Amino acid sequence: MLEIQDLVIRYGDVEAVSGLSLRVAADETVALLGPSGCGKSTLLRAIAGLEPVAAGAVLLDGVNLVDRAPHERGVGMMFQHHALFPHRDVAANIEFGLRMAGIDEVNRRRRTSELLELVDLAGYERRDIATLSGGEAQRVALARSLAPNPRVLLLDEPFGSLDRSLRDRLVEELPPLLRIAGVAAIHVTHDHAEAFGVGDRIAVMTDGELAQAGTPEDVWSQPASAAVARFFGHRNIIDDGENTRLIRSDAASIDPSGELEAVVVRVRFCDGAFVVRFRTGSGTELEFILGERVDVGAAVRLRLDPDRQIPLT
Amino acid sequence: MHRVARLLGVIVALGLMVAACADDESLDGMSITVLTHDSFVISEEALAAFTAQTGISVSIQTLGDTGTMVSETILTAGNPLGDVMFGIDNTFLQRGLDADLFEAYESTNLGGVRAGLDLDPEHRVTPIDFGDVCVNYWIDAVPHGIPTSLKDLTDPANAGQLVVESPETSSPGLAFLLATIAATPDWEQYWTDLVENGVSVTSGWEEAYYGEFVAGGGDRSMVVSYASSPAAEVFFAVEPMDAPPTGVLLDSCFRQIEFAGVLAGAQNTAGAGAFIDFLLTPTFQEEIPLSMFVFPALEAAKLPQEFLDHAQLADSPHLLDPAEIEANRDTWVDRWVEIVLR
Amino acid sequence: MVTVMSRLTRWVTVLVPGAFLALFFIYPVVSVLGRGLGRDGLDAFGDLASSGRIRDTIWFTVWQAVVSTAITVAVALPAAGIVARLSGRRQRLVRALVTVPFVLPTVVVAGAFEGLFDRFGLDSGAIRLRHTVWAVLLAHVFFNYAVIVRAVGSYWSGLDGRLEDQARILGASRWQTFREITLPRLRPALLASSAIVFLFSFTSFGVVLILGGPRRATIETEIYRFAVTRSDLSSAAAMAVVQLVAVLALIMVTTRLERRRPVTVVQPQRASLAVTRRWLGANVLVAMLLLGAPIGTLIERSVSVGDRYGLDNYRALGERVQQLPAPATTALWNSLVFAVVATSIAAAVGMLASVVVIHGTRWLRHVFDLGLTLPLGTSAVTIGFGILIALDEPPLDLRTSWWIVPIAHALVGIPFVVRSVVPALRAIDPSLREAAAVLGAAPGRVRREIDVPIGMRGLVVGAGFAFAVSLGEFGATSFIPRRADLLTAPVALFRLLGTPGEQLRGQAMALAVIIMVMVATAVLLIESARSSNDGSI
Repeated sequence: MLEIQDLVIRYGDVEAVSGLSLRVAADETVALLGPSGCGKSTLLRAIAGLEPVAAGAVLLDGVNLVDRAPHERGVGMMFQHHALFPHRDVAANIEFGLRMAGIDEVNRRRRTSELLELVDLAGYERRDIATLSGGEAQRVALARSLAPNPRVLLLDEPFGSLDRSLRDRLVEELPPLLRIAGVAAIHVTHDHAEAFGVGDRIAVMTDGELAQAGTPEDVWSQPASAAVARFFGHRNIIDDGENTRLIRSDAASIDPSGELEAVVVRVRFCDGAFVVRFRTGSGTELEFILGERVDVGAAVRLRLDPDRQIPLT
Repeated sequence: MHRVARLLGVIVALGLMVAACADDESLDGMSITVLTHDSFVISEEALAAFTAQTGISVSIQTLGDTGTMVSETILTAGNPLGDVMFGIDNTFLQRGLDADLFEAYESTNLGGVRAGLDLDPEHRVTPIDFGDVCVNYWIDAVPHGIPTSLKDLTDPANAGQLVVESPETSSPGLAFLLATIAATPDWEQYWTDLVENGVSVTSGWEEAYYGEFVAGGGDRSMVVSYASSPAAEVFFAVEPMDAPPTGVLLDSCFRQIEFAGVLAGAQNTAGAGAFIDFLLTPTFQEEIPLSMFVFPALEAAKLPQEFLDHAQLADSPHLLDPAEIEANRDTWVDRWVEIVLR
Repeated sequence: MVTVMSRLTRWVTVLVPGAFLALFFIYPVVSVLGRGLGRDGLDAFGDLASSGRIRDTIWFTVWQAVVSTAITVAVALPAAGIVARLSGRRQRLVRALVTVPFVLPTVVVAGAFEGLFDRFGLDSGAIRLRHTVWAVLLAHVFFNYAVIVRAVGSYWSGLDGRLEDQARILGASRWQTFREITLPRLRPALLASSAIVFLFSFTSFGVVLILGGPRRATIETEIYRFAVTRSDLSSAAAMAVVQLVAVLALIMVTTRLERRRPVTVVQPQRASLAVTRRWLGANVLVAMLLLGAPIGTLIERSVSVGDRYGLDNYRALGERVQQLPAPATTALWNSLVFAVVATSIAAAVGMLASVVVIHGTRWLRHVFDLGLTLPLGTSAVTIGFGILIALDEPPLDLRTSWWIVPIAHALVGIPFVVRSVVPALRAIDPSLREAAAVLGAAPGRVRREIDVPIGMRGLVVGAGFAFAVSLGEFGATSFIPRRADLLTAPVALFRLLGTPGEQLRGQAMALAVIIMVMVATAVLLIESARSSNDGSI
């Protein structure tokens, strides 16, 4: 189990991470979500030992890693640009960590082919890194980082450089792999769809601090603040001066007796449902997901579910 | 780092290999180092003969051209690079003497040397060979008959036919300049006339002989070269020839004498002296002509047939006193540059 | 932060190249300059400053070097672009072939050029190239073509070609794309290699002497004139100082202009060989004319025996000629051995120096980069005389040792190695090292697993050049004592050309051709060990 306690990381005068605490259980993947520049990559690098820590502790199974060099931490890491060693072939890349640990050749070979099977790249041992596609390269990178059996795997926006469909596919494939491997993982991303796809729990980071952590459903349904809500793609954030509240996109249904009058401004079809944008009488624009089609320009009445309206701080 | 270690290992191994193969410096003092210039050649047989006679092994260091050799030896005068120098010629002699480079040594074989070569009464240097620097002409290419005197070179009939080397950068070039200084009443006027007559100037001998002279495909029929050049043309011809294609303008010849001397501060002065004696033996003297294409100083040395047939020596070559050369050389060359190159 | 070295390794890494540089370059140069300027130093400067001829000489030296560099870049850059688009074997072959001119002795090349001028009527009448500045410039381009083509070519092929594609799609013409997108990105490699071309042109000796003729003088020829012809060490030393100052200034300027190279994407997509046929053809034509014609002349001369053609000259090389203390084949072998030793020294010292240049403190980096490049711009006379004065006492009395020859060669070869290895190391994405560390590699191990293998790529390319430099006996050894029994090929060639006679001349040409083949083969072999596309020379 990985426990981060009140971690503070500084760059010169700036605090990149301010007193962050987080716990990751032995078998779970925590998706660390946040906008660019919020410090999540820095946090990851500090856990790996690639950045110095100003204050706080990083405990892995009770042992504080903070004073240890990166090569002594037993932590695995995957980078955004796979960072595969260009001067070695696929097998040599995957074996690297095993070699550092002093494993003999026979066992290294065995483990390498095991992992290649796992990531669905059987037979790729002798391939030249330069000939791999983006997806293949990331899978080799994954195999490489899993090879030495780390207790924690840190993934720093591993799918950032891949195209949409590839990313979606890997988002599907990754969690089972990690479960089979039995590692705890922190998966950093700025894409909330990806976070929701891979994370057993979501942790949202803004400005170096942990804004909220919880299961995907909890976090989406009850965002802790307007910033977090906005980050999840919630659009209907209403600020009437005193209070801020969020109207969830699944809160509305068309009801002739509904309390809200609105005009349809735009209709999109996405993944089997209609995403409809309305303009209310006061000029506010709201977006809701509906199961039925409406025409642009139509005037309708909407009923809003009070349970799906959330006050935000 | 394996590779670096391996590379270093290769260097060391090679170093030992080469050192082992080429090692001939024994530690018992029975060895000498000869300093010489790029054109010096001595056969392995001759060296072996010397070592067999005297028990001294010889290592030869070449120091570049004659000028460089002299400069570098002067530079290291307190701690000389070797025991004996071969190759200082009469144009550089005074410079070497003024710098006290040599230790006097009177060779036992000096008596056999031709008259007129032993320029140093104090025997600080010993004459070993000599040759003349003269204008050569390509017999079939001269437009208006064979030139017979320096004056002919300024004859408009021979305009654009001569190529010379610059005395600043070339030893034969300097020799020719000295010849004109010794031979003509007003050398500056002579050169002005040559310039008007279309003389071409190169930096070095190779470029003159193989570049502009007919021998290398050029269009000039006259070049400053050596009296032995015609013999070399015959000796190294591809198709055997009876007579050389070139001739020598004897009136233009300047005598160059090469000397050897024991270096002051040498480690093995006795050995150096023995080597100089050896240089004046027929064994070495008789191989000089065909290896260095100059004439042996030893009167009794037999000349090879090619030399007897085709090489010429001027009866009265031009010669200047080494002290005079050293005192005026810079001024003369500067004047020459002004007249010819500007 | 990933620390890279243990303390002991750090010391050794700095000490070895530092000691080499100090011992074999700094100490000799300081000694000879001290000796020369010691007594009447300031007077010498005064005399030089007041001499119109000297001022003209300095001016001429600078501008001919600048123009030579400019023309070389202009001619070689398109070729570099083409080389960049070639891949693997073909690229290596072309890169090995362009190295050939680099290694030829000047006297031979001058002769070939003269022959060409003659044949193409550039010898008389309106267009006379003999003894003109143009002949000098042309020869400089001939010799230094390889430097630009190899350095810029290899760096170019490491650039992501998609940026250019992007620009073309956005509507930029080929020329605009080149000027706005490619050229700025080529800057580091271009600056580094142009600096070397400048230094070579600046200190060029044989070319100026022979092709420029007796009327042209550069700082280098003047140093020779003062030191050797006139035995005027003071003036020679003063000129040497002027030369050093100019070279120092240049190196500092280019170092400042050379920003840190951008971290390259690890697997860039190379631009396709989609150049117009016309472009390709024009460039091949220029290259063939410029490089091929003189070399062709040489080859032709080597096989012409009297009125017919034959291999007699080559066969004769194995026999003993009286002009040479050993047969020419022995000389070739000696050259080879020296080249291997010199390259090994250059590789070892250069590797360590590169590590310092990358990882050292700011001060160390500057000193090493500057100090190691200086020998390229220092007169051979200075180095030679300096060694004679400085290394004259045991245990360092190396003046007459055979070791001094490969050491002097290495002085010129080391900057090539450094300028090849450093870009290769700099181009390493830091995340590679981080990945290795996280996978369990301790700092020293990281260096061994990442830096060394990737640096090696640059090393073999630099080593190829160091080999060529040694084989061609660049000026550095002209003024160093040579053991007569360790005759080397260029010296043998020089001697063969020193006596009249068609046979000797033919053999000299044959020897030149063999030297060319030797260097092309060696460079090809060395480069085949690895490939590299990160700005190394």
